[in-house]
Amino acid sequence: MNKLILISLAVLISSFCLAQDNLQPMKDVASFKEKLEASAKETTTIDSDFTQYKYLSFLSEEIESKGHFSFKKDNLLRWEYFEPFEYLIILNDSKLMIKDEEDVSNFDLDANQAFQKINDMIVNSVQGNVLDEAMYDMTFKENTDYYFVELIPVDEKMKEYMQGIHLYFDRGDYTVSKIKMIELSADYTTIKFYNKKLNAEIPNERFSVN
Amino acid sequence: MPRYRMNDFLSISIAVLLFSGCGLGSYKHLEKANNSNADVTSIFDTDATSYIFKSKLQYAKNKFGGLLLVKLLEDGSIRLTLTPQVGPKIFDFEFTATNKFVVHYCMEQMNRPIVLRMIENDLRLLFVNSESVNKKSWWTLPDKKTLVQKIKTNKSVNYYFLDGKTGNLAFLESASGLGRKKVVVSLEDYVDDFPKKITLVHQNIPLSLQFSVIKRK
Repeated sequence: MNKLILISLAVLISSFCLAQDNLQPMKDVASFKEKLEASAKETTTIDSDFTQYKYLSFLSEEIESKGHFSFKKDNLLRWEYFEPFEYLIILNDSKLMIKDEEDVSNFDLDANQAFQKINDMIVNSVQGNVLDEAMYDMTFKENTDYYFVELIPVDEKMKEYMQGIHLYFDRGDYTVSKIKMIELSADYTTIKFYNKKLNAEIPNERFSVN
Repeated sequence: MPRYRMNDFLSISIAVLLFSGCGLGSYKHLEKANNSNADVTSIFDTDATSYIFKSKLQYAKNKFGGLLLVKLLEDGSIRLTLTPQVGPKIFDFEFTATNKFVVHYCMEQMNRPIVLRMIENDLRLLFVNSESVNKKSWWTLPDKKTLVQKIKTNKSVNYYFLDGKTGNLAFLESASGLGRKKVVVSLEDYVDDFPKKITLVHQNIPLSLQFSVIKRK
């Protein structure tokens, strides 16, 4: 189950290091990729609030959660929920820590090859290698507000969990504004990011559960 | 109905502990009582049709958290989905109106007959108003304060311990036909006649589940 968490985090990180409404085919994909990669290389830290909506076909309304996200190169991540309850995930180099109320669970990613592979995926994403053709089939679109990338997994592991991923990038700074992760059942999770800060100072202490 | 009080919970806990043994014959101390109009075969009330629980599962030292979503559908079926806060759902099950268990989705690691059967039994015990009830009878603990409804199903015998003052379900125990406890469920912190915290503990394997209601609508 922690693999699921890691895969989801990898997707989220990927989206940050990169980003359907009246979307048209993207005119200059090469330029978009180039600027995206440059933006990822220039980004050393990311700090953002987020609101998450989970859609399940049999529920009449989405489940809303709110939280905060922090990332620091090369491999420090804090993904924290405040509502509807507190839940904290920390990725610190090869250690994954999850805090649920008073319970803290620690996992060593080095001890598990599958976890290590996902961890590598996160790191590669942060380094700007997010548009990985070995992992996804990609479709590039745009409108006046967003660059849009649709990712369809080709990697066998990803295909077990995801039908597709939609990424919406801000046209100004190439940061992600919205991400939609679609499950095999067509249920999906949408995360909207706001109050984004790039390259702000984030102390390493933020990436521990204490 | 008055709000459930901690003292009542403690009283019933102590009474249950004092009067019930472990293992065979755990329920020999129960005394026959007059029939009651109460029916405790489901924890759900009639006002709400969807529930969101914060869930914690512990197996030995392994812990896992997520959201359990329960929807009572118009056709009488119940849909239950467990999803982590981050990532795709773990399972999506349904108890149909005819009491059939349907697996809409289950993640590969859990999709084993023995695991599914155990989860089905636990969820059925907590959330399903079983139609396979063969026999209901009413009993009391020797203190006469706690009313106990005993229900024989096809698979087990379930004991529902009701607080004498509030009528709220305080404990639920599932046992074998010989009276050996298999699962103990405690229901605490009632608000508007619904328990905010539900804890299910297996007696024979190191597995426990905890549910805290976040939303009821």
